[in-house]
Amino acid sequence: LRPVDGDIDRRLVILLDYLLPRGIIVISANYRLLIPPSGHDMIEDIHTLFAYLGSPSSELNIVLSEHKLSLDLDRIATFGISSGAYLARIADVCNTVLPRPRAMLVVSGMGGDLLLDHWISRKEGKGRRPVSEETAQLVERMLSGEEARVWSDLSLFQGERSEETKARQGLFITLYNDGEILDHILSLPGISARLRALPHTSRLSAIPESKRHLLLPITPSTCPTMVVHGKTDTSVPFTEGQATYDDLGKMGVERELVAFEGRGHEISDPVRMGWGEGWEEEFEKVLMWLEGMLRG
Amino acid sequence: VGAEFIRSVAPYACVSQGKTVTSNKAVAEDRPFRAKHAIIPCESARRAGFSSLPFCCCVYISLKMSRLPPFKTLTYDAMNHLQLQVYIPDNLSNTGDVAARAPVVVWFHGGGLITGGMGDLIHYLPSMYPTPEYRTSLETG
Repeated sequence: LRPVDGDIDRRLVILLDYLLPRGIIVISANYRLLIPPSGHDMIEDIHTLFAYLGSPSSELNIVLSEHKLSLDLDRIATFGISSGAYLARIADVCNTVLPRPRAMLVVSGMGGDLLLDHWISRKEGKGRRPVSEETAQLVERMLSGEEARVWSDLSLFQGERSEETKARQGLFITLYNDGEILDHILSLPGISARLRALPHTSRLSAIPESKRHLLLPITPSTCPTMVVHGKTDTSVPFTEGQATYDDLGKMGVERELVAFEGRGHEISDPVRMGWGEGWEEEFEKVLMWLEGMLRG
Repeated sequence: VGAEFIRSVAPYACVSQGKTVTSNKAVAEDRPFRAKHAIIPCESARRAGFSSLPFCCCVYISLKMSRLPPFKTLTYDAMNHLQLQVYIPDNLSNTGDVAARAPVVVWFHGGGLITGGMGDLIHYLPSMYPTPEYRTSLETG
């Protein structure tokens, strides 16, 4: 008995199932995806998104007013899953993003430490994830700059994955294998290769000051944050979540850590990656925290 | 009814006399508007791991079978063609003329910063649900 793609109308979504009956609006937002865009563009998109949420004349607020609702701009929470944590974090650490969120939840989140070997090292042998010959050619074109189209909506789940989604997944795997994703986040070709030669502790100082804000350092005004991470995550290492948690502590920010022993990336993707019984119960505790932050 | 099925809905099962088998009974009861119920034979339940059940009883299962809540797709950045989906609570009893202020959770999909889209929300965090085949066998059995 497994959820099946394409039978969505019989599927419950715990996030919606939990939050909507409690009177909490849920928004899922697109953002510009890397290559050609960079982290700079993502930061711009989050500013635009929040300005839109705060604008009384936005189409969103008009739709809500038809439901006799308005956004409570003092009670916004961000919730990022996996790499979505980078976007949630933009809103939470950039104090020019207005209105300010009051809580952040990151699950299996990327962005706690983008200078880890996990992102920067060149993988060898079994450490390299496979990419088909056909996809490799497409990836080469994308990296050469020939393919300049900007993407912002490439669902990983809509039935058969589109050709673009498959090609861009190959792109991600290639960047992971070659340890070069940071080049594209920072829009700084060659930076990964330079950092690779340095010990982890020396890497930050080797990044130009004008680019460090793209690593989204936690500030004292970052909002209360819950970090949820699997201890054996191989897609986004637990170290990422731990780094976020540690940095929150250093800055005196209210923080929670939910570490799942013996669990990997499936805590954010239980269907595809396989976590059956018990997941939902655990996840409700996480959502209870989120609700509490919004009500408090 | 297959043992695998019962195991998969086990967090929502309770004994017919109202005795709680799992701590999640409250969760099942919290969602009556979304649940359908089924009685399954205790033998199947025992096979599925409810070994402490009394011999002659049935297991009462709340099946969660709802429709996905409706959402609206809106454009928040026309220049860059950026969209969002909004799910709106429909149960707020607001009879006044003034709009009720509601909190909001803004969710961001994953995909390595290179793939993914707003529609992934409903796929990332699903609950389990029965297939039509299972439902038929439950209703008759």
